[in-house]
Amino acid sequence: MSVFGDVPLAPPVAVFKLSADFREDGHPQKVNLGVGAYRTDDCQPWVLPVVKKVERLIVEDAGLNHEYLPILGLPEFRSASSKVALGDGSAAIKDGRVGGVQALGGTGALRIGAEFLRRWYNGVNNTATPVYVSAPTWENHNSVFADAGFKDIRPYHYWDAAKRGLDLAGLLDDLEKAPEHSVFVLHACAHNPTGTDPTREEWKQISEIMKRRSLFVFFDSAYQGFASGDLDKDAWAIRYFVSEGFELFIAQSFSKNFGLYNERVGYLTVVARDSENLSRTLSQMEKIVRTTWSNPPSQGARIVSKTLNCPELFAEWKSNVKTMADRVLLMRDQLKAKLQALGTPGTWDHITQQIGMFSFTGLNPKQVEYMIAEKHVYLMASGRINMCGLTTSNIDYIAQSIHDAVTKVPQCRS
Amino acid sequence: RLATVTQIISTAPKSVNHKDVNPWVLPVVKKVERLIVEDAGLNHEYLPILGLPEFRSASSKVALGDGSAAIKDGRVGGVQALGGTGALRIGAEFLRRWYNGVNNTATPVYVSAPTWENHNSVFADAGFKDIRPYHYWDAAKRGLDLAGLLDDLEKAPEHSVFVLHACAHNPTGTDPTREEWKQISEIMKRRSLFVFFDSAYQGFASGDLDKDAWAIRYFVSEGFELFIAQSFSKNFGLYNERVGYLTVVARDSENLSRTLSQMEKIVRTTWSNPPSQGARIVSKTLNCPELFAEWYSNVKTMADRVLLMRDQLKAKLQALGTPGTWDHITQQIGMFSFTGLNPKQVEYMIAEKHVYLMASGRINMCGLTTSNIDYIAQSIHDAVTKVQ
Repeated sequence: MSVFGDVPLAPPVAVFKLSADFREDGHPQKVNLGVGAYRTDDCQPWVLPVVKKVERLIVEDAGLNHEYLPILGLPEFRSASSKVALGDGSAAIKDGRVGGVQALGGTGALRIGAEFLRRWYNGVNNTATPVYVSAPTWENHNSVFADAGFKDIRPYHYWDAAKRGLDLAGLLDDLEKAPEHSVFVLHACAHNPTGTDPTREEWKQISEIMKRRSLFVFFDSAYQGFASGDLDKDAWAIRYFVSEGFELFIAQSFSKNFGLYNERVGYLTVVARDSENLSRTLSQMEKIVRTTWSNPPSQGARIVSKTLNCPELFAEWKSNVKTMADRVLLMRDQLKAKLQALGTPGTWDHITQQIGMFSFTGLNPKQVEYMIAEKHVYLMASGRINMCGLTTSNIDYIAQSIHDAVTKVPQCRS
Repeated sequence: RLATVTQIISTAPKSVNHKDVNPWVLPVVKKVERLIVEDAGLNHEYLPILGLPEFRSASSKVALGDGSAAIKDGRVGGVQALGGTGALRIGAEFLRRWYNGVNNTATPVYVSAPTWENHNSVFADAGFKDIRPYHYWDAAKRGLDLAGLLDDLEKAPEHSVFVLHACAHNPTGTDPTREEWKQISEIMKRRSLFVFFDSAYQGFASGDLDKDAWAIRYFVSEGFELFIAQSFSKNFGLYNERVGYLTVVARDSENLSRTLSQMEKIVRTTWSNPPSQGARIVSKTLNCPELFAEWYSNVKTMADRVLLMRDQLKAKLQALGTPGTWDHITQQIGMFSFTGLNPKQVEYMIAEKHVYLMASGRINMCGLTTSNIDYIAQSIHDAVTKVQ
């Protein structure tokens, strides 16, 4: 009898299961539009040229060693990360009320922030504080907050399937009705999975209610620079909220905009009212880090830090980021054009209106099954596609597949 | 923490210091880092949630041995983790959720008295409510309190979790002998206690990987299902790349699969998938015979320097006629030595001598060098003779 005899088998994570199925598929025209990683037009992963350059600099730097980093991370990485999010001229940074924690990707940043809030926000160990995540949202949000101890995780209205856009009225209504001090997880830009962001005017409305009702702002920022190609544009919402005086968290990921997925480079920016509150907050975050990973991994943080802190490398990086963002924008344009040329029923404006890596196509689960089984085009059951999976070689096949799915498989009643 | 006084010596941090009191990047690590940066076939795509496959298999082999029957039987697997801490945390989270019932936060977890100061917190943050000490260090005899330890094993509730140090016990440097391990094993098997090894110093303790893994391998050969939290921070000098592994030994592959599937869920909400760089370095090294031999030699260099410092410190204290016996300095093993200095003597060492050590009297032998050993010996002598 095994001590593990009663352990149930957990289902695999959907997005990785999709990739596994894709790998096993022998069809010559198969396409993977599942997992959120950038691909070149040759459908290859891309190591950013600036990353390759900096990796060489690091290996040649005899002044570096492998001694433990501080618990909160590499100092020059920490300051550079906050600057990237809040802007060089950030008054909050100048006021000494911005700090943070180097974390294991965006996931790690979310987890440290969530653990802190559960222990110290809105009371001590108040597991009942409601946490709101968008409907839909990244599938891991719910689990991260649940494993951090929160018992009441709720959806807020976000995606309007009928109009294929933001359900602003529903969102604002949820903000008005949420218990005061509820935590709201907001996507800074390039909403995952819908690709639909509030406009600046809509962000202002969201901000007004959140301030009035003392709701806690927790930004998830995984695509800065990647969405529009412009770092400042993609950070507009974050910076607006900071300028409006919010104390807030920002979980930043450098996985996508640096293409450093597997080095787990992330940062939790903390904006507090003043440096004294910031210090106490960070001291508690240190305790959380210490029992989770003790201190963070160096390689990815060194690469990002060297790049962000050197004007030449920074410029080269921005150019690499724009390369990725531009290719995605091109694929969006072309996919829409091809669907319109095919006369595919429905409107396809959302493909170019949506922003970032993902598009919520509007395909229903049956149509998705058809895409996978009949066309060997792999996408999430929600209808989400990774635009990076499109290339000049496969875009015709994909457009035709979508066309066939829409015309041959019945629409859902919306 | 360190002021700029010339004679300041920190013996507190856990990193290895080469004889010039500098951190040491192992030559084999430097070599492999170059190979990695030049390898155009590598990219930065996400690793699987459980980690780099070649790292995972190599890690289990290093712990259990090349010829491990358990590995051949397909009942050994594991999780690439963020150093030893991350491995402990994943193991602890899993046990809290799925061991001895579902979400049984009341299962007692025993840690040695004393132990690494983070053990208690890791298990507490994983949700365990009842973390207890087991007898270990006998301050009077400066050695293992075997009777107390065995008694705790006999009295612990069945299915309790015991965190055992595989070798080079931190902070005491005092390990059970092989005979003593057999006694421990006998009771643990009879009383269905769960074995959770913390293995942070394999190779580093004696210079011999197999010797340092004897206890682990003995328990596996005795049929235990167990966890091993392995750290490659010390034996690869890769402290800041966070390279660790949680080896899982189960009765059979089917139990192993279900266990690993639940560990995937735990990883997914903690760090999602692990960092690549350190795992690549370790994996390339362990899987290539030439590099493996070079690494082994680098490890022996570190272990030998520590052994030399132990010999010399004891000799100098004896030459100074420092009161007390100092045999424990050479009997203890690994990075740390429990000097036996009391808290007041420790305060004196820090305040008057600027020799930094832990309040428990623990020193990091790696902080000793040929340049500072006389100063340290004299400081200990003064502490012992002037402070009671």
